[in-house]
Amino acid sequence: MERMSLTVNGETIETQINPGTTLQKFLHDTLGLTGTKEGCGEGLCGCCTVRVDGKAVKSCIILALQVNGKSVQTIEGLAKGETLDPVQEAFLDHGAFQCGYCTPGMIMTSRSFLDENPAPSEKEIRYALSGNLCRCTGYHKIVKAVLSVDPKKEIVAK
Amino acid sequence: MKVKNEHEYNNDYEYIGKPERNVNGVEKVTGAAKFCSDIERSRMLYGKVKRSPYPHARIISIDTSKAKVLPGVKVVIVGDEETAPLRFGAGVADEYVLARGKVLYVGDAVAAVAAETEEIAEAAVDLIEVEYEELTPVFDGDEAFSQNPPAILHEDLKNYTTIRSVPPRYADKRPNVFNYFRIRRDYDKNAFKDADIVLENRFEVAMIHHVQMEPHCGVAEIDGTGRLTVTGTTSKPYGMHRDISESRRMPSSTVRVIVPTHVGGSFGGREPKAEQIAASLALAQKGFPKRPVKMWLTREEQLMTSTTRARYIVEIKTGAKKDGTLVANEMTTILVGGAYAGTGYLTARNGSFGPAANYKIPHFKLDAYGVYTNQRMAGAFRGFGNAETLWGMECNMDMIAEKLNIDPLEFRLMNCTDEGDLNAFQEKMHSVGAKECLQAAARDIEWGKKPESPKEPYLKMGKGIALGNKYSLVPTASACFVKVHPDGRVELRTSTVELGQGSNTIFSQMISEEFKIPVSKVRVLNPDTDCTPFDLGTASSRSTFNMGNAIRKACADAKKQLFEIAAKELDVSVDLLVTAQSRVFVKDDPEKSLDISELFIPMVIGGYTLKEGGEILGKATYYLPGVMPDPETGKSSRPASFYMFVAQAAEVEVDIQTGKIKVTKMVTANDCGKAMNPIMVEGQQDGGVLSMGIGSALLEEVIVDNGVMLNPQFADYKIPTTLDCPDCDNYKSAIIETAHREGPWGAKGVGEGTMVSSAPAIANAIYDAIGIRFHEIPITPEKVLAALKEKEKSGRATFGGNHDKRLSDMENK
Amino acid sequence: MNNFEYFAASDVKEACSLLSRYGEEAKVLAGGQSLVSMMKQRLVMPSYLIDVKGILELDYIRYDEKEGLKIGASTTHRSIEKSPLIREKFPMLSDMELNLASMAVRNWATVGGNLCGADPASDLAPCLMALGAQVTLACASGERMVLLEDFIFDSFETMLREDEIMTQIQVPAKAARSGGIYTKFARRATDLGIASVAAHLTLDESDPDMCKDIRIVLGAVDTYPHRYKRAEDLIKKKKINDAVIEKAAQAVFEDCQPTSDTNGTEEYKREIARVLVIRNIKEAIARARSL
Repeated sequence: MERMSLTVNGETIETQINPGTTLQKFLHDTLGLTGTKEGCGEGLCGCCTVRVDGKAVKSCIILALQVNGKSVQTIEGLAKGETLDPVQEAFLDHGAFQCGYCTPGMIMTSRSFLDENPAPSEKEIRYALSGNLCRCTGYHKIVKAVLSVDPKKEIVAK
Repeated sequence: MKVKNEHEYNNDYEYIGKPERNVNGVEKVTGAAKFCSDIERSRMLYGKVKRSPYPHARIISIDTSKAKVLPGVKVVIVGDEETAPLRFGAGVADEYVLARGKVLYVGDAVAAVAAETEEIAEAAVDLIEVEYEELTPVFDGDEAFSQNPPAILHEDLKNYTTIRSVPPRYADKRPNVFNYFRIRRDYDKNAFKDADIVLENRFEVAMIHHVQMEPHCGVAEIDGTGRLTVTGTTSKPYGMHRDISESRRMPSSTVRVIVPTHVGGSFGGREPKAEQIAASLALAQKGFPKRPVKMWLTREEQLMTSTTRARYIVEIKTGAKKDGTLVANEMTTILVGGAYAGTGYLTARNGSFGPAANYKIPHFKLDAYGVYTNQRMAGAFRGFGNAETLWGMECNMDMIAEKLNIDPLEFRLMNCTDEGDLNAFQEKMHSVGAKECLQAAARDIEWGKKPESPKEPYLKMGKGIALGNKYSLVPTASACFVKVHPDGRVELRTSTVELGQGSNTIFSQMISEEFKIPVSKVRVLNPDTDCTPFDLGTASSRSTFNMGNAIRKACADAKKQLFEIAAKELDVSVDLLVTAQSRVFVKDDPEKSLDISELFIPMVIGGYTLKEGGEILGKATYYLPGVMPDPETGKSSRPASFYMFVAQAAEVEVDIQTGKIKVTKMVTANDCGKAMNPIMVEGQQDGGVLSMGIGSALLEEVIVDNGVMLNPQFADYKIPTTLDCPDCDNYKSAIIETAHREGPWGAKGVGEGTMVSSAPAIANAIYDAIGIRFHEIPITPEKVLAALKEKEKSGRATFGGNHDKRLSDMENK
Repeated sequence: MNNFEYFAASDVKEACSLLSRYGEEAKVLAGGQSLVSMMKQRLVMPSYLIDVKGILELDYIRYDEKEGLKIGASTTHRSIEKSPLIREKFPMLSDMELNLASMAVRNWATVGGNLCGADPASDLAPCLMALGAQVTLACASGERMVLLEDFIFDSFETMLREDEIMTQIQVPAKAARSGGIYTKFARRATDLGIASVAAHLTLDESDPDMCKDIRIVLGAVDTYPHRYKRAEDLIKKKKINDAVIEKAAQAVFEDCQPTSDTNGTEEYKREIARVLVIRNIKEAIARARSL
């Protein structure tokens, strides 16, 4: 067992873990933050995407110990109190989800990307989301939702 | 908005047809949504499966002694009389929960373990020793279908129990056939007499996987009274309920099945194997209390062992007159199934509906078969066999149009079915949006306008179009309860599964429309056989129509009860009353009104009651038996509840040096009857075309060697990513509303019609670009390059699908 | 995963010291985007894991006209992708990063980890080899520099000793009249390649049709990424025309050794390699001329 200390959704956590624990398992199983899902365990589908120090990462192929001392944000920590993040609102507005299994990862990747690139082109959005697989939506409404969050443009009509 | 017949429907609704936000959306975007795979129970055990490494073998012995004593192991089961007393199956009961006597595919479940952790369970599985005697397997569809196949999977098939309502039919001389269905419309040796041209071809379709983002999961719990509850990712709670209880000789009400509000997709692929094994593990525990057991397939397990869309062989012969009029069509279709029929038994049969209903064809012959092979289960996928059979038909039709020098769009417009036409079942078609779909797709792809000149000389472009349809099955039944609460809110108890398609949302809209309350005041319970009544299953694009009709009837029943109580209070006649905004009032005198809460009597100690009747609980069953097709001719006046039509067109860019294909533009037009919620309809269209349509046409294939899947992970089983779909501006979807006189507000359905014409639209576009006809999907770059080189060498412009082979070749061996 | 002991090194010195102690049974963990997956599948089972991701002193991108480009081994792929410096001087590196795995993987995976992992289908290695990169390897007793094209010599095999870590990648300063391009052919844009080609050339100062120097490196079509010198020699110091390019591509076609798998047969991969070589050399020339 190794000691570690990190912030998860703004809350400081001091804990001991087995070094072989991935960040995804730590978040989902140990902390009960079930929004961060396992979809493949190999870092290919993006269902496990969280933000570490603001950057989107694939938590199923990162050891929890590697985020010792860092700040982690999961989907549960995205809203500010009762106010949803603009990305979450855009997803709701556009119906940019169906079964919802890939949705937390999709939103976390989008949020991280938009923080770095607030006025992206559609092509840039598609590249940013290329590591998040979705089987239900064909990505059409997802891309439209992320495009609509662009602060320089008006909310795109559905 | 199109309304096509005399049953005009009012388009001015308050909630119907509106783009209401998904009622489960907030949970999904905040991570609050709990899926079956998120379930954690106190003292839960984890299940793992021991699987056969052989495609066909006799089980000689199983030694579980080492597994049983591994610390942390609590249950070890094998396929024996205690664990697996009876077979089960959707149509023919051919499957045990754990194999008994023989294993029939690589991955067939032989034993299972429940342990304190997944790691211990896996280690225990490795300690189970199984001795097998290998038998010759059969993988090839032609061979499996033949009269002398190299292997027979179910020697005792004729003695298996079958379902009464739509029993399978076998083929005497073909021992691996698990279903046979035929259509004969005005067919004899003169069928092609009036045809000026006859084209005969063979087409094939590769096996693909649904790739639901949440792998299959089941959690089985036994309470203190010994009652079993199974929670799962199934799309058919009552089907699973029957399979679990009947195959164990358990009285049905002693089993409870729950499906969470959030299920990570289905697309027709949720055979409840994980739930079944979890149940067996839970039930095999000795002592008290019984611990919950969770069986969650890994992604690799899901891709390797769970049901897929079957390979298909389609042989088709079509005849037409010089002027383009279709004269005759003859087809043989083989669903190349897996070791157990599963939903394949019905898919094999019902894949024939698409070809039967697409065009006006006076002379029609179809023989549809499902055959066993030593592979994992293969059967239902979005489209239920129709994408596969229409793949063959729509390619063949395109070839005929070309031979006759008729534009492929005009050819289809000339021949497609329309309102009142007879299809091959000799059923009079009602609610047919074929023409409108074709016209919309043609408009959106700019049919007739050549694609823009590509930037490089090695890029070629082309356009293609295809027509499709998807029926929805009969016999069908859906029941529901609608409860009016004292606070004026309304609750729906339905066993339709919210898979992401938005059923909860449109059902809420229906109830809102009936009670004139906002969607936020409607609640939909998740499926629970303890309180949500029977539904056939969330499949066949049937929920909007069937459950929608049940909801309307149950609302009427609830309102009748509501008005009877209110009539007494208001002292007016029942038929003068209406309800809106949680109030009941006299229609022409709205001052005479009561809040729904006022109809309940507050009781001392607490709570509210009615004087009689218990609750305001509307109940209804919508039961549509249809008419069973004649076994020899398929003739039926109602072989399906309705048909959804679709037309899709694609523009492709082909790199003739690498074979790479890019879908630069794709459009879809879907006839769904009245669209309950355009956002939900669009969502179905988008996913059907952009994920599965493009995926099945160009990218996806379960690659198998000797029964073993070689690509069971996302790196090598390739579903489309954001970069594999056309840009937002280059994808268009049109909603065609051709009202159905029996549909709730004229609605039909949409889910599956979304991909039944995608592959042929893309293949026809590829033909337009490079002059090669592909007879199989997926059309990979390597195949394109090989086909181009062959064309250069020999002039041959046909590739794949074993197009020179015929099923009848096997008879001469 | 197997049980292992975990150490997080905070600087190069500490990492080297840990490696000299545990080297044989230890694995270095950088981004872990390959390693963690392999450990989960029990393909790799180290007794010790030495985490070097936290070595901040190795996270940098620098350039000067004399020493060229220097990238610290802990630099993430995403930093490379977004670096305006690299976009200006070595755009083939920026473009390569766009199609490398996915943004989230690039946010965490390091260039040092990629090169030391020596995946036969690595995108980074062919690019850097084509640019003439060298790598610096440090151990407790000192450091050494090795040409990248020598550093990787077999499938997942490098010259890295058990007690060493990679600290820096160095690329010579951009030469005048030089240009390069990397393209990967794959079924989907961000898949591992079926064949990938990095081509970088420098034109003669006085004759724009004459190739002064060229490097052609392919990934995914052999057990490790390497230069195709026979092809290079057909172009180097020659007048460039279509026929010369075709000959070079044919040499690659003959010399590469792809294996058949679910993504394509050996024959197909060879042909793709050949096509890409032709296209990339032509594009590299165009880029070299455009400055």
